[in-house]
Amino acid sequence: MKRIPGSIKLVVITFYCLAGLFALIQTDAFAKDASTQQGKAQQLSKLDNATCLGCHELSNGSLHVSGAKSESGQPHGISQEKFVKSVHNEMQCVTCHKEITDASSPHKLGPGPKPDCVACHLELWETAKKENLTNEKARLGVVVRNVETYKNSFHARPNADDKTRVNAACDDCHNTHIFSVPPQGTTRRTDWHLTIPMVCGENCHADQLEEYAESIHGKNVLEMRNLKAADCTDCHTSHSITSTLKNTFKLSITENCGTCHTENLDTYRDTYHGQVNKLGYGYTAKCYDCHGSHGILSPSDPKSKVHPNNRLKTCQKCHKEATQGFVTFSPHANTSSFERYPQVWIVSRFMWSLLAGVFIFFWLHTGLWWYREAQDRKARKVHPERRKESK
Amino acid sequence: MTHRVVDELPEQHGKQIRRFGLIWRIAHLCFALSVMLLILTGMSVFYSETTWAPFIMQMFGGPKAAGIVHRTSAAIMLGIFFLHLIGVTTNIVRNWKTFKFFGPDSLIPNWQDILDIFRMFKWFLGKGPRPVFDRWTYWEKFDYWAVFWGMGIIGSSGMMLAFPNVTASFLPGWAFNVAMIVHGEEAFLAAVFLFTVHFFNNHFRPDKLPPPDVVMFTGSVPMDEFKREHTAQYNRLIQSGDLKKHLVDTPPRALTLGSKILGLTLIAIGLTLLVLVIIGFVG
Ligand code: HEC
Ligand code: HEC
Ligand code: HEC
Ligand code: HEC
Ligand code: HEC
Ligand code: HEC
Ligand code: HEC
Ligand code: HEC
Repeated sequence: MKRIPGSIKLVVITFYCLAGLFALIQTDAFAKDASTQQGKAQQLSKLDNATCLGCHELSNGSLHVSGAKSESGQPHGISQEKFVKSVHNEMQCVTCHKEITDASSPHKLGPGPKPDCVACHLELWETAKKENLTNEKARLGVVVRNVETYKNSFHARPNADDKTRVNAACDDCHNTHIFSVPPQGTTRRTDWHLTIPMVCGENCHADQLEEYAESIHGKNVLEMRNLKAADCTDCHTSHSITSTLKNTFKLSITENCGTCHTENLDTYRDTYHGQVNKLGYGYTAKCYDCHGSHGILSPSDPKSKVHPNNRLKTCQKCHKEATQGFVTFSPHANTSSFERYPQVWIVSRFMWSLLAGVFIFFWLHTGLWWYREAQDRKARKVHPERRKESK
Repeated sequence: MTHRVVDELPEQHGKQIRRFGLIWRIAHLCFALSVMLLILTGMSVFYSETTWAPFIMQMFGGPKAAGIVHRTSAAIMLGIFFLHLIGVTTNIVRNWKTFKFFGPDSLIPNWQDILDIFRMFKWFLGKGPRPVFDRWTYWEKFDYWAVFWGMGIIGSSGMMLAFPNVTASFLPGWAFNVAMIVHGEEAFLAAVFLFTVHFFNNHFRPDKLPPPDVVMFTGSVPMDEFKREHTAQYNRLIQSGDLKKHLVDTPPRALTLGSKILGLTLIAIGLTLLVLVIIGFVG
């Protein structure tokens, strides 16, 4: 071999080495690029609903992950079966859950906001209004109206114990993931409606639920599935719930009872208690002052607060000096039932005839008088001499 | 004969005939004011379902305050009524010998009133001349006795409601139900009667136009009106020569003007109340 000078050799070797290194670096870089792309694709597929439900599906049982929150802090499972029937079935989990950016367990929460029914729905409604779709999307208007009334309600106020929370948020009453409002008149609607006492009572208002379950309304709703009887929301409303100490409550609750008990409301309105209430003052007896609120029973039930045996005590809450005679006053007397209220029946007939008699006589008297006197005056104007004559 | 005397009578310039003494006029004014307050406060409870009622309640500051106004007015009214009873009784006792219970100066209804009613209807139907009246016409007597009836019925039922514990100590509870109905219906009767029939008879008849008739405030009527409205009394007084006893000076212009303003104000209030009651009745 021809003798190659050592310096050239060095250059060549260096070249090859550099080229090799370059190639090495190149492939490494390519490989890295490929792996990130592959990772992205993997991640995308992991954030779809199926992936999320892979861990969060109800039938999986509770999530047991090391490093996760304590047992009690474990999230509830989500029923895919129900989710696909819910009002949000077409949505991606992550459209609402902007705070979730990975599919690992436990999650590393991202900076995105937690889902918020109110903000999202106000925006949806604004968009619908802009696009003139308010008729097609009327139901979205219902949501927004409920949001509006809810905002003024007792539940929207900060909780006394934990100021960062409201008393009850939308998702405390409505399970976001399975929330569906079945059409009126279907058995699904009935089922849904019948859950209301449980929704209110299970976690928050256990005492009221317990008392309610024993009442005539509770028995009708919970045992006989009678939708016509009052559940919590028939008396309290669902979204404009107010503090029971407020005057507005004391006035509206009476109307709410009256939506079903129309006759009793009417007769109540004929008494001083009801008249004052109608005028906007809540201090006289309201339906619940006499009947109770959650433990309402039929008046013939010996435990009812208005049963003759207990009535005196009920009235004495306000009428301190009430006597047994006082309490036979009928808070629901009407003028049409002789069997139940004979005295009232007789007296009302008497008064009506008196009024009719007096007015028939005197209005006839007045009318004729007017006519005759006017005629006479006209005649006198035409023949002024008659006036003198008549004197 | 009568005719001659009438014409002979010197024109009484500056003179009117006195019909109501000062005490009666004050009593009537107090009655009018208290009955209007009673109607306003009472009807806004009775017709609590109207839109106007809550406003009135707010104006008074709530049903408790309105209740105090109602009871105070009732006390004034009953007070005057009983004072009047005492006055009338002493008057009758004092004049026991001469008092004619069924005479023309008495307010007690008599046979003549029945005849007058028939004659009046005959006239209405164009079947007879216009009847002439003495001091008290039958409708004036009715106005007077209606107060007795009203006081008895509204007053007693009102007292039952105002003192429920006393009532309950000797009456059963249904007495409240009955008292409520009687009190309300009778008050309705009184209000509507006053603001239609009473107003018409005294202020809105064609012969009385334009309103108001101020005799209840000035106490006296001009001679020609007296002659027209109480012809029989006029003739009687002329014949007995007692007319002079009833003559008084024409009230000063200021009094007449003041009475007119007062009268119109009361009429306006009364008609407003009537409208409110009608709204309540219809709505
Ligand atoms: C590998 C299983 C797994 C997958 C996949 C998964 N999660 Fe989770 N997720 C968990 C566990 C475990 C918890 C409870 C621990 C925690 O709070 O991070 C949880 C908690 C949550 C919470 C409650 C967070 C909080 O504020 O307490 C939300 C919301 C949530 N996941 C949404 C999702 C969404 C949306 C997806 C789909 C993109 C998803 N998860 C995919 C396991 C998973
Ligand atoms: C319409 C919006 C919306 C959609 C879509 C949605 N969520 Fe939620 N999710 C909520 C709201 C609201 C909450 C309650 C958040 C809170 O209380 O902070 C919630 C709570 C959760 C929680 C915590 C539950 C608990 O009991 O603590 C999990 C887990 C969760 N969602 C998973 C999912 C999964 C998985 C999907 C997709 C199948 C999904 N979400 C779809 C709105 C939504
Ligand atoms: C991130 C946005 C978002 C959040 C958060 C959200 N929703 Fe929705 N919601 C939607 C969308 C999108 C629809 C479907 C709109 C349509 O039908 O055009 C919808 C539909 C509904 C409907 C059904 C309307 C109809 O057409 O019948 C109801 C009810 C509803 N949401 C209630 C809630 C409640 C309650 C919450 C909170 C617990 C909530 N939403 C949270 C976006 C959201
Ligand atoms: C205190 C519990 C409670 C809270 C908090 C609550 N709701 Fe409701 N909501 C109910 C009940 C109960 C019903 C069923 C009412 C019925 O059947 O008449 C209901 C019904 C609805 C309906 C269906 C109404 C219809 O006419 O079909 C919508 C939409 C709704 N809620 C939205 C919301 C939104 C949005 C929020 C939060 C701003 C919210 N709710 C907060 C209890 C609640
Ligand atoms: C028949 C009408 C009616 C029904 C049904 C009803 N409530 Fe009430 N509720 C009332 C009245 C009236 C009050 C206020 C008077 C009182 O304090 O007793 C009240 C008061 C309350 C209060 C305030 C605290 C208290 O006890 O005074 C809560 C909380 C409550 N109700 C929850 C419920 C729940 C939960 C249900 C359903 C299980 C329910 N209510 C059903 C009429 C009703
Ligand atoms: C002052 C006490 C009192 C008030 C206020 C009152 N009730 Fe009653 N209620 C009674 C008594 C007492 C009975 C028993 C029947 C009777 O004696 O007339 C009764 C009976 C009833 C009954 C049974 C049916 C009947 O007529 O006998 C119903 C329903 C009823 N009330 C509903 C209401 C409603 C609704 C309200 C409010 C609008 C109301 N009550 C207000 C005392 C009251
Ligand atoms: C949603 C309709 C509804 C509302 C609202 C409602 N009730 Fe009832 N209530 C019923 C029905 C239905 C019954 C069962 C009637 C029966 O069994 O005869 C009933 C029974 C009663 C009874 C017993 C009647 C009897 O004759 O034995 C009383 C008293 C009563 N309710 C009072 C009230 C009071 C007071 C309120 C308000 C605080 C109220 N209800 C609100 C529907 C309602
Ligand atoms: C929540 C308190 C309350 C209860 C309970 C109550 N009342 Fe009353 N009641 C009042 C008030 C306040 C008045 C008005 C009193 C007044 O202004 O003089 C009133 C007035 C009355 C009146 C009219 C009396 C009047 O002065 O005009 C009767 C009658 C009456 N109540 C009967 C009853 C009977 C009977 C009961 C029991 C079945 C009862 N009340 C229970 C508060 C109550």
